[in-house]
Amino acid sequence: MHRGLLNVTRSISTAHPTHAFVVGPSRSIQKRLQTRNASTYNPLSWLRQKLTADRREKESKEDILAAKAEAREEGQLSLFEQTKSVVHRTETAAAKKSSSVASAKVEKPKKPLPTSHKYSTTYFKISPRKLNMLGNQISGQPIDYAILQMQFSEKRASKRIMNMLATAKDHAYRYKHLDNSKLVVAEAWVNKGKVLKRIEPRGRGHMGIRKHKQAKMHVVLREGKSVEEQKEKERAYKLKRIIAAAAALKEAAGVYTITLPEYEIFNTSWLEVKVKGKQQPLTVTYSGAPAGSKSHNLDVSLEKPLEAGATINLVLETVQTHTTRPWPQQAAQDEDQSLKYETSLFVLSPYNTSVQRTKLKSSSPRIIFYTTPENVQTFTHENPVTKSGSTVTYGPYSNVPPSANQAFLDKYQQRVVLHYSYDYPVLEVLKLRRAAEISHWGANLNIQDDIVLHNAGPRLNGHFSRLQHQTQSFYGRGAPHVLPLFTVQLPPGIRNTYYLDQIGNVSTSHLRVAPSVSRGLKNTQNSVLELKPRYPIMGGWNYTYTLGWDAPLGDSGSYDPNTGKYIVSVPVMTEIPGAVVNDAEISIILPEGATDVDYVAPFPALSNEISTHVTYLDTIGRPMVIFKYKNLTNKHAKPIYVSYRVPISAHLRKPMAVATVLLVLFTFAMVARRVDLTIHKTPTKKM
Amino acid sequence: MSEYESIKALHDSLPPFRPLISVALLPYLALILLASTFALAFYSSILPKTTIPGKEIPLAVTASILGGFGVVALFCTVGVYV
Repeated sequence: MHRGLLNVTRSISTAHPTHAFVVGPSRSIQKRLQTRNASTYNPLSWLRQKLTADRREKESKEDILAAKAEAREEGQLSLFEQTKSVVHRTETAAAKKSSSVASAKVEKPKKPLPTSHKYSTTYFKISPRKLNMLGNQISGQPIDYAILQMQFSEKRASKRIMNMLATAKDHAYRYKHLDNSKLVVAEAWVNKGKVLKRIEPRGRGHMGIRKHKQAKMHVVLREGKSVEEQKEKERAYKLKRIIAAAAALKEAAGVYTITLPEYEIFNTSWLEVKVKGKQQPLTVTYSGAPAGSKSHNLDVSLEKPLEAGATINLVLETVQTHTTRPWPQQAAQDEDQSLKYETSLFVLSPYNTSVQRTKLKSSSPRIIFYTTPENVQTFTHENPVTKSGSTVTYGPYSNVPPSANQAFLDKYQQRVVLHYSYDYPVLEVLKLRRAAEISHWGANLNIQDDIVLHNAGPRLNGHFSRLQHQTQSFYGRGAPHVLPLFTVQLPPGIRNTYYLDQIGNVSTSHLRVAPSVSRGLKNTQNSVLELKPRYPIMGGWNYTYTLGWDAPLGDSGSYDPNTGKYIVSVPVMTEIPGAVVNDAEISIILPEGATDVDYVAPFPALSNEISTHVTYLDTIGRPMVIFKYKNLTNKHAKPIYVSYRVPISAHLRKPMAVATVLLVLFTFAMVARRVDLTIHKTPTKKM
Repeated sequence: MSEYESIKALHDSLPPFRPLISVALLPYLALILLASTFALAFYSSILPKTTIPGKEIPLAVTASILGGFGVVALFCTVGVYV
């Protein structure tokens, strides 16, 4: 059908046309068009056409070319002339040059040389699973090995595959110019073809279907490495590893340096470094601040130096105080409480970090705002921050260079702000005065706490409405920043507990005493005291109270018969859940006449002093050891151990003092008895 | 830290504190001693007045000693652990 058109184009482009054809539909089409209609059939005109020559104007080739040139100048060239004609491959170079339609001489980019050759069988009747077995066998093997295996394989398809591989090898050499000796079957896969379904009669008149599956296999041949090349590659790999190991072997690290920014280390009140999974904490020493950067270094000494190439998991746990602030700073009685926490995005480290992640976990999933960091494209290609439930994750950031220098900090370090809702009241103990009095006569340890409690949440905006408060507590919808009551855990076996505040005794509290536990046994139960202050503590309010109790001295005191020393353990503070103690002073009052006073505190105090305390029935006063602390948290509720000696003579001092007083009284009484104060009648002289 | 751990271990291993006189006895002791103090004081007040208080002085001494212990026991009984 296209033959006609091809004839036409050929006639234009060839240099020497064979006939002087006119551009128009072909003779056969013309004929068909003419004889379509019966009325056009005219025997006379037929005769005329046969006999006379074609009297249509036949233009010579030169006229045609001239006409075309003229049309081109005018811009009237037909579409066929304008577009590039199909150039036959066997055209000579001279013919190309003279062709009227000049092909655009564009510089084509050089095609890359082929590195692989793909070949396949046709679809033939075999199950794809069966064919795939052969595919697995030859995949990855050198081509000659694959052909050999196929030659001696027992499988039905092996002959076909063998022939296919041989042809593929030949084609790869011939057409893609690949090296025969290096060819390898790089890939071999099987495709499924059409499934022909045939009926198969089964027993009892049932019909089953037989599936005649078809499959074909493709292979990709590539130039593989020669034996020498493979050996060279392995040698280079092994050499690289040896060199790296030798370089690292020089330094087995025994110390790991942690860098903390200044604001963070000033807010830290408790710090511990442990190997993950172990209980024993590692020794941490302060090793100065690098010049310029506002950060401080801590050196952690590992138990044994870390070998080169080995890994260890260290966990640094810190408790920071006064780092969150309420935002908004004021809240009405029924409004929500939200806090703001700021930290820096990148963890400071003097070492290269391969992966870094910061997870901020809040107590509730209601997070109002978290900063999206910018300029972290060098470290991550995904989202720089994600939120999932109540955790906001910054990271993972990969390949972070040593960040403990000012250059990195200036370029990348940014502040990250987390604004979140907090559902519990934020408590602060402004002042804690704990007095522990040891009595040997009564075998008693009296502990008295004078506490000033402050609600550090958002300040109360507006009036305190008792009615609203009662409604809220009745329906259980208390605002999160109001503190109606709190629970403290007291030691077991206490008696004579008293809870007073500035007005007097407070009776709105419940105490459940746990039975006394002797020392040495593990304490499972604590006494629970539900403290309900006289008024609910709203945001920004203070409350001063005194809490004290007596406990048997046997529970916390011991006697060493070898040295004659008594050792008493006094807890530093009772934990108020979630509260930080700004300022604490713990005084331990020892019995009168105690000598060789020694103490061991779980963490060093800001200051220590030993002074004298005078109380009932004292003559010389009792020694008092005072510890001062700042920023204590629940991690600091550990006991202080005090040891001392009390000779029997000192022990008897008290009764002797009282006895002396009584003796003085008796003496006075004796003297008074003998003093005659009666008024005697003087005998009057007779005149 | 190791010092703290060692004293903690020592404290846990030692026998608990035991007072010279058991605390449960103290109320009774207080009663007895104070009663005897009172009795002795009363008796010494009845004794005839002599120039040299021959009998009174030893009585006073014993009474005051007993009274001293009694007062301390009394203090402990009422809860003022001296």
